[in-house]
Order: sequence, then structure tokens, then C-alpha cells
Amino acid sequence: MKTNLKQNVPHDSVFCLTENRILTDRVHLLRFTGDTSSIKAPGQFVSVELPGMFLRRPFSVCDWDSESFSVIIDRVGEGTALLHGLSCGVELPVLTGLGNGFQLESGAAAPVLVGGGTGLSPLVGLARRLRESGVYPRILLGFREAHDRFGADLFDGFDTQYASDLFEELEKMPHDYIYACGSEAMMMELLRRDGSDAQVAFDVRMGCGFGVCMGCARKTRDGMKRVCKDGPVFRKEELLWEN
Amino acid sequence: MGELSVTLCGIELGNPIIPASGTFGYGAEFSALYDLDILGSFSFKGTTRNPREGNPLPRIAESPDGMLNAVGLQNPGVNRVIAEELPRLKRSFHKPVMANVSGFSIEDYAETCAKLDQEEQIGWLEVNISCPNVHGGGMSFGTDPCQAAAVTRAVKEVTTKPVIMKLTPNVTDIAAIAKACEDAGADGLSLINTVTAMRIDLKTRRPVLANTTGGLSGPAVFPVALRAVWQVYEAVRIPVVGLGGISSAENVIEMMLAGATAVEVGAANLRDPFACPKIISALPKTMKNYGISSLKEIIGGAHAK
Ligand SMILES: Cc1cc2nc3c(=O)[nH]c(=O)nc-3n(C[C@H](O)[C@H](O)[C@H](O)COP(=O)(O)OP(=O)(O)OC[C@H]3O[C@@H](n4cnc5c(N)ncnc54)[C@H](O)[C@@H]3O)c2cc1C
Ligand SMILES: Cc1cc2nc3c(=O)[nH]c(=O)nc-3n(C[C@H](O)[C@H](O)[C@H](O)COP(=O)(O)O)c2cc1C
Ligand code: FES
Repeated sequence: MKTNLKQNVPHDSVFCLTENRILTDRVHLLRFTGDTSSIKAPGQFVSVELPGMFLRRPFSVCDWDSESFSVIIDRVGEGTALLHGLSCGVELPVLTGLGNGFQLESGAAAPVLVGGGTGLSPLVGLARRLRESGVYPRILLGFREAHDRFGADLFDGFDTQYASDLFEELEKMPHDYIYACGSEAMMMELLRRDGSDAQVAFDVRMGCGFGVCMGCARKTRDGMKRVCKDGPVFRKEELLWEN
Repeated sequence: MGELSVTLCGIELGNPIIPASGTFGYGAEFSALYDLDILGSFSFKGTTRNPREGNPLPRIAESPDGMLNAVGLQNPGVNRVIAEELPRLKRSFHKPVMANVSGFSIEDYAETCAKLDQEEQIGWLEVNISCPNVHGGGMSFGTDPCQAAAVTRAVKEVTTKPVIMKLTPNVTDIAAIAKACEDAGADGLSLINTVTAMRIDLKTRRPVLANTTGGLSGPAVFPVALRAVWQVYEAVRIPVVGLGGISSAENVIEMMLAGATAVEVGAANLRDPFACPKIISALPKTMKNYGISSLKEIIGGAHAK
């Protein structure tokens, strides 16, 4: 029997856009104000209903407090372009409290947070949580092109570094644990080559985002798992490498 | 207040709203969101004789007013459904549930249905002969009247529960398939399953879905579903469950006027997990707006008398 069913119960409510900040020509940070009580862990995501689009759009929570959450949005298509163009004051239905999120690994004294591109987003909230628990992670942000870089300033007070080759930089950084989020190919390659234990967040096309449609299922050592409900964060030991 | 109840193959439903197979799992996730007992019933995920891992990702694509899926019948298999899902469901849902069954051979259908026939909470067997997303089975049974009849007969032999055959719109003459199922002993029909479709990603110039094609559902298919229900209602005497694109109380009424005894709601649950409770609570007022005192009385009401 699954015992975690009640832990991440999605919550549907209306949020108001209260900030739309340009980070780069392709990336904005949006803040939504409303009932954030269902957001429990860094690495969880929200899904936003957009006018004229049938499926909701999933985004990792960057960080949150009792009144608002932020998301970092890369413009890749119709929905993200619409979001970039919104003005403050717009109200949208948002499902919050989706997914499991990162678990703080108590045994890890020197964790490194590895973000690929927009994948850095959930690491912002994770870094804050780790600091609150007395652990100071290092931050490594990978961008293929130097001119795409952004985000170091979001990790205020942390040792943050940009990299073009994540693995090369990671090797130089003493660490005993990895928390990662980014493109699947990059994350899998990194975890394959690095010996440390890790948790990694995946991004796949979703139907519902709350565990009922099987649109997002991925094979793991423990059988088929839903990225939206059993993930999006998986432990390294759960992963199958031929996936 | 208007009367919402209807009777489907001898079983009374408090209202005609039934979440559709594949969009409601086995009920567990939704039971954390709302009281499942407000529903007429629900149809659980397509269940097969053996566990299935389904198709590779991506399995989901979007389209105007709808979505495509190519899940490929991922499910834990009938034995685990009986051992794990149904005992859990019993605690959160206290009405007859609709068991959705798929197979790759006539024996598959018969064996799975025979096992589910033993389960007290199952009210109806909904036999999916219309899944477009698996090869060597599923839809091929639903595109040929002889095959459709053969599956119907095989299932009827192993169960005393009402058998509802779920039909695909991907045929030239859906009424002929419907008639073949009725003649073979089906107690009811449900339609439509998804419409075969595809999308191509302009950036990669490749199909979006790993399976290349998938099934279209959501509001985009509502007029197609309505037409199919209309045609089948004219061709058979057994009850028809209408589905495809339903997302409002108005859609429910329109589908019932075309001939549906009850309706299923699919993709709408994925966009809005509260779609069904919203439709159910909007029904009384919507009925009033159109002068309807009892839903039973409007079934097939748009057909010439
Ligand atoms: C758990 C999770 C967390 C995510 N976090 C972030 C984030 O923090 N920042 C960010 O910029 N993006 C994130 N994404 C990706 C984001 O959901 C997509 O970029 C977005 O949905 C694209 O929408 P669109 O309308 O612009 O693209 P379109 O291509 O027009 O969308 C068409 C359909 O495909 C889906 N889709 C397209 N690309 C993706 C993708 N890469 N992943 C999932 N679905 C996709 C859309 O949701 C939509 O249903 C996340 C995805 C998931 C699953
Ligand atoms: C993600 C998804 C999974 C589905 N899985 C099944 C299934 O297992 N068995 C089945 O009979 N129909 C399945 N269907 C089809 C639906 O039950 C329904 O027939 C179809 O989607 C049309 O209704 P809608 O437009 O309201 O979604 C699935 C549909 C979706 C969107
Ligand atoms: S997206 Fe529906 S189960 Fe994960």
C-alpha cells in the first residue's frame, strides 16, 4: 500500500501575478500571490491554467513564503510566451502542492546543487531550506553558452559558480552529495560519471500533473513511477540507466 | 429541484456523471480531493490480464481545445487491481464502479472479465475494444463487426454483470459495430474513445508523441462524439453512455438529448481536477434554464418522435 498519498494533495486556487521580472531575453521570473499553504518542499511544482490552452503548464517552484511563490520561466512556446507577456494584477488558476520535492539528506555535510539552465529554479528554495537546517551547499550553474548565464544573484550568500562543462567543474569541487535539476541527458551523464549519491528532478510532458493519467510514467528500479506524483525528484539509486 | 437520477442497465445512478477511464486512475488520487460518492459512478483505468508498462515518453501532446495521449494502457494488471486497488477503493467509494477492461485476444478479455466478475463493487464491465494506442489488439476488435461481436459473446459468457462495449469513432460506420455488439448480447454501449491523431514538433521536425500517433480527446471531439451517439441511438435499443469532450452541464444535456443515458467525463478532469463536481453542481440550475425537470425524460429527446 502506498503511504504517501495524502502527503502531496494538490490545491486549486486563484493566484494574482505580482511581479514579472526580466532575467534575460528568454527568461523571466514571475511571482504569484495567493494561498501557498500546499507548497511543502523545494522541488515541488505548480501547474498554471492559461486562457485558450487546454493543458495546464507545469513549473518548478523557485522559492515561496506564506504569501507568494516565484517561478522562473524559459520562453519555449505559446504558453510560456503568454506568461512572459502578462501584466501584474492578472489572476490565474494554479494547482499547487504537486509532486514530492527534494528531501534534505541529513547525512550530507557538503552537498552541491547542480542546475542546468532554467533547472536552477527549484535549487533556490532548496538552498534556503538547506541553510535553515545549518548546511551551506555550493551552487554550480551550467549554461552551454556564456551569454545565456543568469541566476547566480538568486543564490544570495552562497558560493555560486557558472560552468560550461558541469562535470569538469564538479570534479574540482569537494562534495559528498548532489541535488540536480536540468535537461535529462545532462543530469544522467553527470550522475553516471560522479560517484556521490544524488537526487535529481525530471521534466517530462504531462497530462494531469497529479497522478491520474499515466502520461508521465518512467521506469525505475521499483517499477513504473509517475514523474508528477512519485517524482519529479528521484533518488539516484532508483534510476535505470538505459532509460 | 430537478431530478438528476438515471438508470444504467438496471443500476440507478444518483446523477449521470461518470469520470472516464484513463483520467481517474483507480480513484485514490481524486478521493484526496473530493468525496467520490457525489459521482454517479466512475470508470477505472483500462485493466488488462497482465501488467503493462505502456508506451515510451512523450505520451502527451496538446492541440486546440484538446489533447492527444498515447499512454498505451499502462496498468498493474487485473490481479493487482483486485488485490490492491479495489480494497482501497471500497473505503472511499460506496457505489458500484465501472470496470474498464482491455485485451489483446478474445481469451484476454474473457479471463480478465471473469476475474472482475467476482468483485462485488463492480457494477458494470466496460469492455474497451477501441484503444488506438496499442498494437495488435485494442482497436482492431472495435473496427470489425464480427470481431466486436466475438468479444461481446466471450465476455457475456463469463459474467452476469451488465456488459458495456466501448466503441471507437475511427470507423466508417459506428452504427454497424454498435448493432453487432447488441446482437451479440451487449447490455449497453459507451462511445466515443479517442480519435486517432498526431502532432509534429516544428523544432525537431519529428512527431511529438514517441508512439507517432495518439488519441485526441477534449472539447475538440465533442461534436464528433455527439454525432456518433446520435447515430448509435437510432440503430440500437440498449442504453448508450455518451462521452467525448464533455466539460460543462450544457454538454451533458446536449449529449443526453442526442441519446445518452449517462455521460462520461475524461480529459476535462486532467485540465481541472474539480471538473466533475463543478458539472454536477451546475446541473440543477442548467436544467432549470432549459425547463428540464428530470434528466431521464430528455434521453434521446432531440430525435424525431
Ligand atoms: C515538473 C516540471 C517542472 C518544470 N519546471 C520548469 C521551470 O521551472 N521553468 C521552465 O521554464 N520550464 C519548466 N518546465 C517545462 C515547462 O513546463 C514547459 O517549458 C512549458 O510547459 C512549455 O509550454 P509552452 O506552451 O511554452 O510550450 P509548447 O511547446 O507550446 O507547449 C505544448 C505542450 O507541450 C508541453 N511541453 C512543451 N515543452 C515541455 C517541457 N520541456 N516539459 C514539459 N512539458 C512541455 C506543454 O506543457 C504543453 O502541454 C517544467 C516541466 C515540468 C514537467
Ligand atoms: C490520458 C487518457 C487515458 C485514457 N485511457 C483509457 C483507457 O485506459 N481505457 C479506455 O477505455 N479509454 C481510455 N481513454 C479514453 C477516454 O476514456 C475517453 O473515451 C476519451 O478520452 C474521450 O473523452 P474525453 O474527450 O472526455 O476525454 C483515455 C483518455 C485519456 C485522455
Ligand atoms: S501527468 Fe498525469 S499521471 Fe503524471
